[in-house]
Amino acid sequence: MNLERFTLIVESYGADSHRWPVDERAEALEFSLTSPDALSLLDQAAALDHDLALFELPDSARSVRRVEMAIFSALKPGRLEQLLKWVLPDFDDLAHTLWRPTLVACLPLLLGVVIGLTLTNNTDELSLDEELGLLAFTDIVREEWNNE
Amino acid sequence: MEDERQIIERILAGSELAFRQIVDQHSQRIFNYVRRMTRNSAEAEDISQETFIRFWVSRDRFDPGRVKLTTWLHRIAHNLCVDYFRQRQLQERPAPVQPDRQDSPDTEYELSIRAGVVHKALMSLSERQRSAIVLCHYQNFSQHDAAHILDLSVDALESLLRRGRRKLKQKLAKELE
Repeated sequence: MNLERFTLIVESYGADSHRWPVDERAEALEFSLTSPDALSLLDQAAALDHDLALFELPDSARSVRRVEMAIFSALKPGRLEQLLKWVLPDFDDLAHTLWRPTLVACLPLLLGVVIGLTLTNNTDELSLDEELGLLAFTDIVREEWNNE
Repeated sequence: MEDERQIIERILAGSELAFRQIVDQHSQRIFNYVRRMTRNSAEAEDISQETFIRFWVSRDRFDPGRVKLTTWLHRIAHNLCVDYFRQRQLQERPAPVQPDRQDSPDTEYELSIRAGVVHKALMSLSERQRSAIVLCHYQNFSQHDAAHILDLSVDALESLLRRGRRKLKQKLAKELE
């Protein structure tokens, strides 16, 4: 350690030896005890360190809380995103997840079948009034035909 | 209690719960760094939030064997600060000075003239000099970690620190005369 290197260290890292490079710290400390120039350098650096210490941040607990809340809410996926994630197959595990998009693709078909069956049942089964109406109509037609 | 290495392993495996633990542990420190770099509490909140989101999204790129988590997070935050300053420069808008009055209306920070001068002097440094001083002096990083965050050699970091401190000394001497 020499004065030149000690000056560089103190001018760069300040007077607090805890901030000095670990591999040179012991030598620099020893040097500071033996050199009057080193002591003067340390005093000047300590004055700047003291001024720097004045720049303290105010309590920012609320800001930090807001940051955390924003991060955590960003992690939560929306319902649509969740649904898409469930539907889209995982290409790493295609065999086990391919049924999901297949099921979704089949849903309109199944719905169509259900609607179709419902409508067919409705047309096949006539209500009592409809059947009576039809019978009545048949009698009138037959009567008119006989009269002629 | 679970140590950080185990938490990181769980994060890398995709555990959101582990990520939340890391956010709890590091959010204050990251916010302080960004707050000292920008001058604006609202911007600092946005950048801090983005830092953690980016870490989570690209967690596969983090190698705990090569770099400490806090160093990695500060590096992301620093890069976001650089983007922020670049954007400001493109828009030719000076960053608004916004004291954190909503959090602490009567702090000494605001009342002390000397502290105000130091703040102003720090803000007058180049973004690289300021980040070097903030990392080494306020965030207490070793020169190796600070150099890693700034993507510099240790010699280059030392040079930045030296020039930054000299400029600060001159500014303070002039302002406090």
